[in-house]
Amino acid sequence: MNILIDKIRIKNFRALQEVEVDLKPITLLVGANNAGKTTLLRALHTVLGVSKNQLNKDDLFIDKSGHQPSKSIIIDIRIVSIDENGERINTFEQPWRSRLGGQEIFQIDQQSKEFVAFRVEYSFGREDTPLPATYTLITDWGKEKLGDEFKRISNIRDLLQMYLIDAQRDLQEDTKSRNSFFGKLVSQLEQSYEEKDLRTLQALIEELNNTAVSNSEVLSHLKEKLSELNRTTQTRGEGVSINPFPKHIRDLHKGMKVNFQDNGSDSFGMEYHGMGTRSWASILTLGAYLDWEIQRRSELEKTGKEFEPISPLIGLEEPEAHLHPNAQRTLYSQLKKFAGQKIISTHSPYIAGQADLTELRHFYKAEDSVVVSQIDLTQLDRKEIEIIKSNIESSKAEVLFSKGVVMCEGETEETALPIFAKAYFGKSNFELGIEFIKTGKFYPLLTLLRFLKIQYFIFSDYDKPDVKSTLQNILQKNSISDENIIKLNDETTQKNIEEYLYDEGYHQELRNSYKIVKEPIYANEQHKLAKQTDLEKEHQRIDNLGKEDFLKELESWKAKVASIYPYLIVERKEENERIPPKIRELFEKISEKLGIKPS
Amino acid sequence: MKQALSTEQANIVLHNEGEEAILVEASAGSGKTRVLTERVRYLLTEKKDKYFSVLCLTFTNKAADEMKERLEKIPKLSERVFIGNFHDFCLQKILRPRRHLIGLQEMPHIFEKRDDLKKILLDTLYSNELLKEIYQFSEITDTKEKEKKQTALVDKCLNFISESKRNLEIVPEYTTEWKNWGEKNTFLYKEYCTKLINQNAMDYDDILLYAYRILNENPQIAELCRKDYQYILIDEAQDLNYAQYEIIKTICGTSHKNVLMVGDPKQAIYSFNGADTIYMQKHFIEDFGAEKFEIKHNYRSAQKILELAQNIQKNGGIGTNFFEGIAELFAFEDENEEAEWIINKIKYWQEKGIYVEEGKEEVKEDISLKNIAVLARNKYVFSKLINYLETDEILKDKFYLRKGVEQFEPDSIFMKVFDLGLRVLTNPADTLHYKQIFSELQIPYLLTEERIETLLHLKKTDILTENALQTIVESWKKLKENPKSLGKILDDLEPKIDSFEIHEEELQKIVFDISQLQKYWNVFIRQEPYEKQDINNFRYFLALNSTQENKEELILSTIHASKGLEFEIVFLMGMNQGTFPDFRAMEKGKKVLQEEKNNAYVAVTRAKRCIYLTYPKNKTMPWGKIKKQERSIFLENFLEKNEI
Repeated sequence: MNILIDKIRIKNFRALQEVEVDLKPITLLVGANNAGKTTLLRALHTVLGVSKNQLNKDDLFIDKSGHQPSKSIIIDIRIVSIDENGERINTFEQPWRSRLGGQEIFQIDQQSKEFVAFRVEYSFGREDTPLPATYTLITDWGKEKLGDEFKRISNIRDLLQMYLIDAQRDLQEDTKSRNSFFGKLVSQLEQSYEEKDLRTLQALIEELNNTAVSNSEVLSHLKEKLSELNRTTQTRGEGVSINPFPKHIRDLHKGMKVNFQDNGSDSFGMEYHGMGTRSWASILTLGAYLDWEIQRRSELEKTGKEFEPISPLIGLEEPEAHLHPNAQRTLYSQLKKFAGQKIISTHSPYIAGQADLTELRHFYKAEDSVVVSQIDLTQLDRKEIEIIKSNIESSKAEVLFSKGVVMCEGETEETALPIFAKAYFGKSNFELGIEFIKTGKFYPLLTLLRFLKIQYFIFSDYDKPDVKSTLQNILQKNSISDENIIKLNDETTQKNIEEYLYDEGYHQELRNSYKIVKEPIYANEQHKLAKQTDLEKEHQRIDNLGKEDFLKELESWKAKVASIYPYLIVERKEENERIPPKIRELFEKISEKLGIKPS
Repeated sequence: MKQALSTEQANIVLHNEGEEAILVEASAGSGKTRVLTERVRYLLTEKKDKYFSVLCLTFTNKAADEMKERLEKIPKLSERVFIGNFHDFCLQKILRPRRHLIGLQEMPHIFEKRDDLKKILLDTLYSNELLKEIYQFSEITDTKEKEKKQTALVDKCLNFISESKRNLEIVPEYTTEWKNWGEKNTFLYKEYCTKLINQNAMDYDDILLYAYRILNENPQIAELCRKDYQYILIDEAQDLNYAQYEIIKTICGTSHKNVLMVGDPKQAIYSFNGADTIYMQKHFIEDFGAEKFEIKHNYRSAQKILELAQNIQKNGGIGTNFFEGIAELFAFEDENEEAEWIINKIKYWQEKGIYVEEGKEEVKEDISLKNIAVLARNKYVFSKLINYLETDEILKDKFYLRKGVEQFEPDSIFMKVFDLGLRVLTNPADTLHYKQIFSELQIPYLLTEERIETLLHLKKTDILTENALQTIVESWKKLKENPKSLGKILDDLEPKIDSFEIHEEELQKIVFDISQLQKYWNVFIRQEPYEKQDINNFRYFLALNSTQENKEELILSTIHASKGLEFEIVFLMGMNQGTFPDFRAMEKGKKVLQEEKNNAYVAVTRAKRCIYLTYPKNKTMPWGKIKKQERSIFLENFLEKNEI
């Protein structure tokens, strides 16, 4: 049993004029820079953070004419009860129930499910001074009906304990601050020992200090000289003592260092590590802190003692910062295990790629204002969802962040098109932000791309009758014009890509690539020379095959040759022959839509 | 002073760890507030699972304040327990947060004054030809006779409405004849309710009726309350009425049994408000399966007083007390003598300053005016006494007549208008008080929906000088800007009064009225958090307020208003047959007479050390005739002590 902020509505806050976002136990915010991802985190933190950050008038939304259409910032938050699987349930259980507030703050929605929702309004008085925020209960979320003043905001803050981890985190800095999670955790050091152990440790430290001083001439000398102090101040206490090691257990954490040993190297202090490691370690410390707090509470709960429940809310800005892609992949699974609700803004395909599709929220600018969308998977069946997932995976999730995506039916195109693209644009498709993805003839990825507002193109074989009709259906169902659709065939022909290229006059390149693929692997040079005659014979045979026989034979090798013939074709002398016409047509379309110039 | 609980008290406090229903019949002075308080403390501190809240309903605000004070050291007290009276609970915890469920967008304001409700009723009578005809009594020509009949009819109608509300009568929208009421009564009831709603207003009875509707029509809200208030405690349960009992039942449903009721059937005195001991003694036991406990021991009163109580009410004076005490009866020739004697006795005690008994000098009780009270069956008995007190050099400003509900009732036209304006500012739909402003100012009122704007543009009247009226309007304007500024505005008013150019006597009234309102405001801001300190909340506070300041003053009180209080020294005056028991009760028979006995029992058990019972042998009637008086039947076995 837990609680969850399942909805937030923000009005007139920085880039966000009005958005409503559904939140899950873990939510990933994706989208371009300046689209408002961080603003959402800041909004939550302004309301729920422990340290109060004052808003000022500059935080008001400004429209394109430079005006502030409204003089107040509104943040609505809804809290619901969820089960172990993160699914919403009807009622809140104890201890959440009594810690959220009395019966009068609970509302019941149309589905007879309880929720607690409130509106925070920040407005500005004369000379733009911020007025005290007002808190009001929301009795109907959808209709935005307001109730009475909400008096339990401090309870909510205690319960949810929002932590906002910004992009500037650094464990090295954390170790110096009492307010960091590192500091909070290690400052509990003294209480964590048994009384007996504490005394033993204390004695050990004393001994350590004595030995360190008495065995060192420098320190002994210093101690002797400083003991002059005793005479001048006439103190009765122990007088001067020198402690190379912290004297009290409670001070132990002040000089605490974290060392980290990479493979094979020496163990170094954090200050010698790169920002990546330091940032990552900082995030892990948060996880350690939260686990500790939750664990402590569940022990209290088991023993029937009173405890203050928490359901931490973590806002995390670009956890991928400074990290290697492989490390980024590990990070997501580590984050997912953190206690509490997580809201993470990210530009990393490696992180977003591992998320459940329903966990993604896409921020984008539509005309003047920011819109947030989430993917609607209800139209898709499980198999289609699987295809989308494997599409994301095979593109290493680049698809989520690309400018444009070309979908094709088969592997051949997926392999060949990027090679032509590089020749046409003079840059790799990664540099261009264009992905070529094999999706099969049903194009389920379309759903995702439309959600992400990514420009998509379809390069269809359009050969067999079922392929033709399926494509037509999809276009019709989603009311998509065929503007961005390139069809290899017209209604009367049924050529596959190889036949198309053959007919376009690229048969020699096809034959040559076939030859390369068929070339056996020789044990050594002698062996190769010995087989030379056979090889020449084989090449001759390939060159002499008729169109039909050749294409038939090529059929089972087409995936392999696809990674070869494009290189041969783009080597042609005549520039206009280097890209086959249909493919050129696709590239021209991309160039036009995405504003990318060919080289 | 902290005393250990007696065994019988402790048994109740700890009974079954707070689970299941129990009924505690507790005699006067047996420490039932302590039992309640300690039970709440036990629940909040000793129960293992701490995640619940406690609902503790008292009869008076005073009892609630006392409990809160005794429990204040418990952390997060206000979050975990609601202690307050029934109306407060229904208003704050049910009606305010859930009003939209019965179609009330704005929170209705309370019309607490009977005069205001009379006006609404008259409006209702005049809105229907049939009712109008009845009310006009055109067959009667004698004006006096006619007025008498009309007054009686208004009272009858208001009582009918009030009783119907207390019986939770909800008349469906399109019903013209409800139950066996007949068309006229049905119309009367519905139209009166509509007239209130149209002004975004409600009367006291509506608070409970609306709360009941919310709970009854929305089982999920009752369910929320059930989950929250896992323990419910009810004080003075002998005075529960139907509506209150039904509200508790609706909250509890069939599953919730953790209800504790404390009450004393011997002290049941509110049947005229629909209260009945049957809810506690019969229904509670049947519906909740309550186990019954009794605490009969009176720890409050001295031995002599216990004897007197025992004399009046069976089992009413059980216990032994350290003090012997004083219980004496005096008869006087007339009311003047009675009043003079009481005043002298009060001065005697005031001068003495302590109560002490021979041989028991180690324990002394301080005596001062605030722990001396004069009680009587009704407030008219005090007339002569008040006359004497008002002219007494020492006591003239040192007494007050305690009322059930303290209301701010300004005397000066200036403050009347100011106060009426506050009502309209907080409730722009309030046409009743809007009209009253114009009738106070004796100018024709303006029919408009822009009531506040109209008030803020008032210019001229013959009743107030221009200066005075402008001051009111300016103050309203400031309050409209900033509803939290009433304190400052009242402070600012005082120095301006000099410039009003009105009669000296009226000026004095204004000063007094301002200081009264300031007093209420100060009590209000002391008990409310800053964000709630506006005139809107202040109006609810005024309407439901029964807080008296703990003044160093002598208290004159009817027995009904003395409920739950205790005093070192009590005078019970006007103990004549016909006054006490009330002559109407004597005509009505056994049950009502028993309640008169309960009244006497309540009166006597207010006293800790001394009680003086007095009566005049003759009374001067308002029309001048002297009428011989008999001694109250309740004093039959009591010997007179004639000191005169």
